[in-house]
Amino acid sequence: MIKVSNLRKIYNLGKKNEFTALKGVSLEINQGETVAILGKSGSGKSTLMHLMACLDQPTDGKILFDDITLHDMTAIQAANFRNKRIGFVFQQFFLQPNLNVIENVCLPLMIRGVSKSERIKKAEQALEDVEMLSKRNSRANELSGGQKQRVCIARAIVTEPEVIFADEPTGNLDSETGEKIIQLLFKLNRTKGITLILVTHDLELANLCQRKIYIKDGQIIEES
Amino acid sequence: MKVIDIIQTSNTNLLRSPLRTFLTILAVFIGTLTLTLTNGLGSGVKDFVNKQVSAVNAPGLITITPALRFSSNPLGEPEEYNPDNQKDDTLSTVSLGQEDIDKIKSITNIKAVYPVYRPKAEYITRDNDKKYTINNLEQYIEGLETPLAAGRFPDPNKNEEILLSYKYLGVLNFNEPSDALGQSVKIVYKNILGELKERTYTIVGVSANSLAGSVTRINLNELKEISYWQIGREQGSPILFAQTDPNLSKDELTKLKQELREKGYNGSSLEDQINQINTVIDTIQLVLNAFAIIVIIAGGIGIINTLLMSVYERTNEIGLLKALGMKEHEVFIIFAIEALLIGFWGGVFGIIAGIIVGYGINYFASTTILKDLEGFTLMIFPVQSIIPILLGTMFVGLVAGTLPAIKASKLNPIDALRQE
Repeated sequence: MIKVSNLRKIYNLGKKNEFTALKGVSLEINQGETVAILGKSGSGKSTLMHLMACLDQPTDGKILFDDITLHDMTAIQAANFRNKRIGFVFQQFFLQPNLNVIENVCLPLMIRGVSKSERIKKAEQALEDVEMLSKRNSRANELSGGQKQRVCIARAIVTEPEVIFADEPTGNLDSETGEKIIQLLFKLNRTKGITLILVTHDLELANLCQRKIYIKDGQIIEES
Repeated sequence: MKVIDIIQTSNTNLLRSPLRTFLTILAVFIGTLTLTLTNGLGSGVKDFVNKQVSAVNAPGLITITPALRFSSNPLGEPEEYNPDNQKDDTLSTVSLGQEDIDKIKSITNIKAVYPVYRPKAEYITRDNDKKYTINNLEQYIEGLETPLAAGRFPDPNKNEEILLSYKYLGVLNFNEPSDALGQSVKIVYKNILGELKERTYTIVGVSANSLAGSVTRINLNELKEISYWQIGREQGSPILFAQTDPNLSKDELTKLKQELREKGYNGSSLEDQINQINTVIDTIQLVLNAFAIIVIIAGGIGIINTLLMSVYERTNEIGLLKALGMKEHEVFIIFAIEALLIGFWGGVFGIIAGIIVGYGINYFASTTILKDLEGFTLMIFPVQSIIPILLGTMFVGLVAGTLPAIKASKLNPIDALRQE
């Protein structure tokens, strides 16, 4: 599904503070897999995720998403691509504080241009999937950390994406809540067949995934 | 994104920090309020002056004044005496006589020239019981039209007919303007020898109140006769009236005025005078408006400031929206509309407040300082002057929003999400 070949990313190319984040990474991820990308901070794992999620352009190399070469797309095509095919779950949640739960979940559909009644219907379904429907009218900042992350997951699955990129999804949660969030993500992987790519430095979490990819200094040092 | 969703998003963002939005709108509001009032005042005064001046309708009548021949240079050398080339330095020395009338009459397209006679009258009375001073006595020239309260203008051939001023109705015991019609009044004049002369007139019309005041008019020939009797000779006149064909083309009129100028006179039609007054009012209004516009521009800078702060505060959020698939131009439009809405609401509230304050001032003025000026509304707010104000404030908002909107739209989603 995702095929990365010889990917290189250099920040501030040609400037004094030039920094090579990825030094030729190749990997392949199949549909429906759960993959952990492991590494310390600064290892390049986030950069890899950003490139695979079409948030950034590589300096060199190629990413194929099905038959699409990601960096050949225009900015508008890339935006549409992210909106339709990719879901994001972030460590810091990034919920809109001035919107309530259901409005937050509706955001990606609103960006897509879906009608209001349609997106509310879909958002309610997504909230039910993460067992948060009872909080649909709460303000985002009235929720606990675990509840916030559930809403984020609902926001990620409401567009029925093929892949979810989860960037340290349990980083701001206590271990018990984090465990539940991870279980939820795996459940969605099983029931909906969504490919799950987990970016983390937590080995315990990574061990739950089918595959682990270790990254250090911009290179894959181990795959299992 | 759907247009309705974009507008709603902008609106929600504005309501996020209501106090800040309110204060930003306030600056635009104050500017718009001022602009509405200055515009309203200008429109009101212009409307009134035009109504009053155009109420005096004299088709084809041209006012002629002598072109002043100032000494060429007050600091220059004394010139040699020449009786045929005398220069007048002050207006008081100027008076137009029969010689001037003949000169002007010779110009093509001028049908008749009238001097101005204003003999001093001692008093006006109905029954010799109560006598009242009368000092706004003016001549009636055929073709002159002023607002009438009742009746008609005097017949130019009947020296005994009079158009009575509205002001004298009460003191002469007439209840209604129409009661005066057909009645007679006496006016008594005095000459330089101290002799008195009593003339009896029949009231054929009553002139209405106007900005120029309500005047009593008597036929030109009658006043000429009185004037001659008073001083024993033909009297000079500061201005002359020339009657032209009302259907003269613009070119013919320009040519006529040119000829007058060559002969040493200035000619101005009623239209010229209205235009002159309007130019003065427009200039005053422009200066007042300039102050208000400066306030609105300051308000625009406030909008830039507020939105830039908002972009910094919402960096994470903008990053997220872009990651979720929002396009650059959509981010731009959301911020631009926020600015537009600030301008719009500032404009709407400013205009509404301006109109309310304006009506308050109108009410106050009409019961105090402008009590006697009927038909004068100090401030008027025509739609064609209100709409441009609103469009103007929205435009200022939009321009002010451009910089923050570009900044927001160019944010890189990764950097934006990374920022704490």
